[in-house]
Amino acid sequence: MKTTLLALVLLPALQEKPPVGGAKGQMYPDFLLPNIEGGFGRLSDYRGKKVLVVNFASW
Amino acid sequence: MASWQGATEPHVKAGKLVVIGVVQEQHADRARLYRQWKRLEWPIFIDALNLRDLDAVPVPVGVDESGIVRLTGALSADAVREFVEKDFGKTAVPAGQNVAPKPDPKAAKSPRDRGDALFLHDPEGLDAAVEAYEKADPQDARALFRLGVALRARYDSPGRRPGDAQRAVEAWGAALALQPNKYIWRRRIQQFGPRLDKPYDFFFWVEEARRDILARGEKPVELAAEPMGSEIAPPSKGAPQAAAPAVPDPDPAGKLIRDKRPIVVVEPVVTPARVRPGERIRARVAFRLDPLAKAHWNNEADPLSLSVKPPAGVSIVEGTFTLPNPAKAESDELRILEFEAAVDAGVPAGKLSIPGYALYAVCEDKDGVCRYVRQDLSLTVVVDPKAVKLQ
Repeated sequence: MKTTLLALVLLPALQEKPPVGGAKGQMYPDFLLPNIEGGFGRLSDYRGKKVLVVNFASW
Repeated sequence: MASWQGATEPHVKAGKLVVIGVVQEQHADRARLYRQWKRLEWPIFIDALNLRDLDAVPVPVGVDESGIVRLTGALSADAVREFVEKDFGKTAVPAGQNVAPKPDPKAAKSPRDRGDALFLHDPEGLDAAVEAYEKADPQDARALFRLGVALRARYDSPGRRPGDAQRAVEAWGAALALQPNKYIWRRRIQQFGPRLDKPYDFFFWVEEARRDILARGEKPVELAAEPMGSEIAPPSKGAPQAAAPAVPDPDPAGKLIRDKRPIVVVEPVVTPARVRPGERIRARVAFRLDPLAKAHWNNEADPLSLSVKPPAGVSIVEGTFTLPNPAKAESDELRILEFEAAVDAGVPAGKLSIPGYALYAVCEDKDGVCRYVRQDLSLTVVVDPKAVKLQ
């Protein structure tokens, strides 16, 4: 039951089109992207730490 | 960027905060150069496809130890400090919950998902990614944008196909027409578009970055696709209007011999792909020696020139039509000439052709024969009163 409730709480953040800016109090959707060194990484790799995600552009 | 670094640096050094960047950039190597220049030490991820579905940047988001968003909006030193020092408690997250899976193209639920998986995770998958995105619903704006990204990536690779760069501009334009509030997408087109529509000189920083990096005694990151023309041109809004340039026409009777093979592949791109009457297009004409032809530019002869004859209702407003030769006698570099044309307000919807020709001097390596040859070309301008505005 606890797992089900938790899944329901998390569900809005896991839909296909998440609130990208991130609504406060919601799970920030994980991502898997190429890193600048040529490998790949996930935001969830940093779970357990406070993370500032800076979405920016180099132009 | 500097203010973020200042606000976050003490906490990062104290081990209390991790900063990661997600950069909206078509070319990963340009982001690498930017990081080297700015001495950014964060892990940085490349989101060329705009998978994060951002409308605009910058967007900073503070996430706690459980992955819950706790900080949004403008960053101040106080806001960052409060975020770092506050105990948000622990939110139980089941193992595997909210962990992005590695996409499998065979299990993809849509052509767009398949395209994403191939583009990102299959080093040989660029052609297949293009095909997948092409199969997506034509109303799927995100698939159209990503089709443009894949086409542009292929254009910048040795596997380029004729028309890739133009098709990328068309796909981005179609995506933006469906979702005009996507400024990430708009900027992607503006990088190649008319100066009047540009908010800033997108990659002008590259030269400054190289100078600064060299002055520090470092070697700048090399770029596979050098920013050129519109990508580094300053905006013209507010600038005094210069006189229209003279367009050369050295072979009006068409007597010069043609580059029949051709030794030089000419790739014209018109941005935007659809233009409203009364607005401008920017044409980029790339000249690339066909590697199979085994030839080089002859820099001791007349320089590369471009001649165009716009139809009624279209006028040249600025541009470069002759490219001075490099100092060395031979070379094999990509050459670009660009110009802008204004479409009169009264021009009806439809396709217009701007015919032209290029003249250039090339030598074949095999027999050493050098020729000054002509190649005819045509640029297509699609006039559409309902086209999305780029500005």
